[in-house]
Amino acid sequence: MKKFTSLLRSAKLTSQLGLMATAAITICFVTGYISHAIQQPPWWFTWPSRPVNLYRVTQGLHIITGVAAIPLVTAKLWSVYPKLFRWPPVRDAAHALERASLAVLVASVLFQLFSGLLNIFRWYQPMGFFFTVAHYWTAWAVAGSVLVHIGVKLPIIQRALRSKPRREPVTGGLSRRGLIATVAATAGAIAVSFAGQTIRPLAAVSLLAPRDPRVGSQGLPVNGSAQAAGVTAGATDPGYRLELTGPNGTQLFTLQQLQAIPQHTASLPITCVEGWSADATWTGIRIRDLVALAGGDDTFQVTVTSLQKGGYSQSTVAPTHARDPLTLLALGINGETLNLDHGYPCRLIAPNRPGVMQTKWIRRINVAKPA
Amino acid sequence: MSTRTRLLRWLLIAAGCAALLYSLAGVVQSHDTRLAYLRFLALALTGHELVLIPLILGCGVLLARLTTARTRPVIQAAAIATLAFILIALPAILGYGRSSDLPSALPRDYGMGLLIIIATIWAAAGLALILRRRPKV
Repeated sequence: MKKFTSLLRSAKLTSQLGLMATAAITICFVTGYISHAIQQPPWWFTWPSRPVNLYRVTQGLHIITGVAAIPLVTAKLWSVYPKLFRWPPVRDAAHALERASLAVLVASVLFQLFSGLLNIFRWYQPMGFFFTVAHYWTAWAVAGSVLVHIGVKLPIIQRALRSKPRREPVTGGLSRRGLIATVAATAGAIAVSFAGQTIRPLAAVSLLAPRDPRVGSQGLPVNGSAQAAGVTAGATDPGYRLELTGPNGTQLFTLQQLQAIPQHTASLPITCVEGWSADATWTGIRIRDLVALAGGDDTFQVTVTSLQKGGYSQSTVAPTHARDPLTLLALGINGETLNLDHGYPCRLIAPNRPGVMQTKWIRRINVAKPA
Repeated sequence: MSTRTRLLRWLLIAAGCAALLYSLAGVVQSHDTRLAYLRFLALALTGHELVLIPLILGCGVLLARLTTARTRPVIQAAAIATLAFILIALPAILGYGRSSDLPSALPRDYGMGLLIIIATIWAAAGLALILRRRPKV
């Protein structure tokens, strides 16, 4: 076993790889929490409507960093692999507890990386659970077990990071620095191979990106089709009416009546929770004009309801977004009428907001004071 | 160990335990299928530790046998990058996430993309070996 084990393994190498992996995990945790809090805001959290591209940056970073973390984590685990088979497996109660916490750490980190990877490639079958819920709760297990692990190992880490690099054994293979450079370069290359799904100029070289911002109907990728949402009949029904409710009561609008309300244009990205984003020019009615029509003002929030049934059928537009002049009930995209997959007859588009909350196929808009 | 280190240590461990308890409560309470969750957790752990890493070790042993001391570092580096890209591209290449009503999801030829990436890696490795062979001036 001794002979077989790579001479490269050392506390310094492990600490350095651990530092890189921890940096990546921290970015993923913070950006992931932001995305979660925007969708299910706790009482202390508010999310601004500007800068327009902020969520695009945080969520793009979440996915790119998560994928790039895979070689970092694998290299880190490789560097301590012989410890997995140390004999005896458990020395005493404290040792048993430490090993159990390590099992939680490793399993939860790998869970996050692999479930995230499967999710962006839309391969849900191996999971068998609702991804977003599991990914959220497991993120806390990662955060907790990383903190415990760093706490337990802190003296070793401090010593190892300060230590002068020992003379490297002549193996003829990669040196410690060479291995770290290789792992970092691989992570960087993986980042580039995905980044083009949100950084458009990189689209041509991002050969593994699950989306291409240049590809999609009306110049924009689609994340849920009208067919899959089961809204085709409802959205194309000549009897379609948009219901607007608020302090002024209930008003019904035909599509022609909506088109007669003053139209505005906004250049806004659609930013998916899966990390891709694409710019488009949207045309439609300002949500704040609809709020005024309904009898509300700048302090009112808006709840939009889709023809779609299920989890994505409704979203709330907080006052900060509702009063932003860029927030539209869009009827058109890139100079054309919205097609069915983009939300015909009308959809929400707001700055700095996840795509999952840019509700499509809207049938009702409710204007009310926030609770 | 300094007092500061000791304090930091216990702060980290206490904060970590709090986060772990929060996570445990969430996992237990979520109405999701817990069995599927545990299965994926176990699969991720064993797949990585008992399949992927042994595979990497096997490749390492093979490379050590097949390469000379001069070419070894470059070939090891290229092999590491290649393995990482294969692993990450696998779900894209298998393409189970494709759906006929969503042509803009997974729009690329990922098999070709991976081949181009691997070819680039080994071209760079070849170049590095050629440059290394030149005597230092």
